[in-house]
Amino acid sequence: MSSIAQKYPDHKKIHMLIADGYILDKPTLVSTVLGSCVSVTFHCPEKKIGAIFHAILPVMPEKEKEMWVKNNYRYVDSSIRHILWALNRRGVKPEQIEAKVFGGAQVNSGGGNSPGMTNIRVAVEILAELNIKILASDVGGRRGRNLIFVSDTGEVFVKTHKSNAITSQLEQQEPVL
Amino acid sequence: MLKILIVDDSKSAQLKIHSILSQYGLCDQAYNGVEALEYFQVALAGNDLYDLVVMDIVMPKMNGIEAAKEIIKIQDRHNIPDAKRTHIIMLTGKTDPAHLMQAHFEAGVSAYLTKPFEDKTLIEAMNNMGLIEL
Repeated sequence: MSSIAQKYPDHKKIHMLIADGYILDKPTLVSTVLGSCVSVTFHCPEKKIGAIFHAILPVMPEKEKEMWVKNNYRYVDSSIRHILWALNRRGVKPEQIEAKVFGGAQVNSGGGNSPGMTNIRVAVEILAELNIKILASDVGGRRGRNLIFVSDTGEVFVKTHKSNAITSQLEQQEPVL
Repeated sequence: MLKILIVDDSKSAQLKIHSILSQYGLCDQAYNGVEALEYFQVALAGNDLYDLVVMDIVMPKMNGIEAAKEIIKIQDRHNIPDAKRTHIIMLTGKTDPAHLMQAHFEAGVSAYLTKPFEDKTLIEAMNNMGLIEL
């Protein structure tokens, strides 16, 4: 993955943790480590603006919606709505956005409706409801993923882990760039 | 060189996918899920599995999701180790959440790409599976 940093030497570099997200007007490489959490990348090719989040839970509880201080990026639904609002303020329309969906591994689960699967379901359903095209997805499975997003090109580089370690430990890992 | 199987009932889609993938390996072409399984069984019998299957969903005789499930089941039955397993990319015009969820969580495909698509999206998915290096 370090070759990607070499390919884009002038890009700003950010390591994104859980419940974090970014709207990126300037060329940036964002790295993160996903287990059952979800990252959705957004890219507007015309304006070369990108956005990404790393959410851990599917839906923001009603009680939290009423709070003055809340973290939108903790939840899949509020992350997507917040990013689309922010992109809209920059003049980006839904039809100009290309999304990609990653994560949702069933790392600690025997299958069925695992937390990872629920996160992905919420992500793809909200994106469809808001008419955002999902260009590509790489989700599910039993292993975590290292991910790097290039904000101005929309490229996403993924490396799937060789073993299925514990999700929460995976997602606290050091930067992969 | 990779060993690749392209499965799509549209000749124009076959041509486009072949034009992208032929630089990375040898491509066989099937036009529905039943044919895809026949190709896969022959590869299995020769102990020379495909590195990659790129498959549409909507096809006659057997759809892509059913074919993907079968390919994964066959590999499970034969205890094919992870490193040798065939990667499956679903490449489809179906953009609804239900098909995406079914392909990933029921069939177990590695990636789901939607048509119309650009060459770079398919190449990026192959890179992310470790089949090529960008």
